[in-house]
Amino acid sequence: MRKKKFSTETVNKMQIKLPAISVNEGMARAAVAAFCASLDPAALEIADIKCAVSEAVTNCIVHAYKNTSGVIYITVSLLKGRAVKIEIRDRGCGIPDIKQARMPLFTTDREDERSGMGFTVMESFCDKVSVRSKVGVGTTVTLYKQFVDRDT
Amino acid sequence: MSAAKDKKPGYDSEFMGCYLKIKLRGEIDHHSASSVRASIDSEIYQKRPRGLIMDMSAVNFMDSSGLGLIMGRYSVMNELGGEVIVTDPNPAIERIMTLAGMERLIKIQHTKQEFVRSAPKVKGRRSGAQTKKVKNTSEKG
Repeated sequence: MRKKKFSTETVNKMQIKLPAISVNEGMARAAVAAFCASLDPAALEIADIKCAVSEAVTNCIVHAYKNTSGVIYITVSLLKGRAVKIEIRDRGCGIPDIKQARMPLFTTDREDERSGMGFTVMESFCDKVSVRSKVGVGTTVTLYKQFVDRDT
Repeated sequence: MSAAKDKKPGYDSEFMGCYLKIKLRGEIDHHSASSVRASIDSEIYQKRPRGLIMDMSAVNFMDSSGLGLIMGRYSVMNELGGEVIVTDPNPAIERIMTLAGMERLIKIQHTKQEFVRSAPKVKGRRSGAQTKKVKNTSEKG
């Protein structure tokens, strides 16, 4: 596993709050992608970001709030050196076993045809994923992505 | 028997011989997958096709909910003794399918080039007019 260090210096920041309803999955993707566009990422890099954000937001709706009402808090920080940090936070039920939740194909929701690939997708499409959670309090998923300099 | 095209929210369906072709549109995420799942299953059980073709040529985004949608349809078709073929996924979609190891169970085909060569000319006059335009604009040395 590659260990990459990301700058802590924030060049720009966006914070949005969205109701945890499935129709907002597309809105979350579009908002994050639009904000990251100022770093001029490649098409596939933006596709990676959109997919990872979609997974995290879907987890908030399906698992954290279990399709009841709630709010999803998304903070996008553009970091020095053409990198991005995206935090997706909820105040939902929390994850009892984070290690288990991150295992490929693991899902607690069999009825809705969940593939159990959410965290695997996030980890494949981002350079770093960190998860903090407390049962009964909520979860924060932080995604880091380094945009590659296309001149090299 | 002519293939009838039905337009439903989120996808078009076409029954061609023994195959049911579902052309999905736009973005496939948890929201859209939930809305089309029951409808697609209803068509499968009604028409009992030998195979289900999921045409992804008009899909510009898919996350793991789309993987769940495809795998769910695979389970249904498997129950009926049929197969699932996914056609024309874009590179990002094909990548997520490969990440899930889906190519071991489901055929992924890129058919667009074949369709261009073999597609019948339905509106012959229009194609003729287009051909003429190409001839007029070509430069002569």
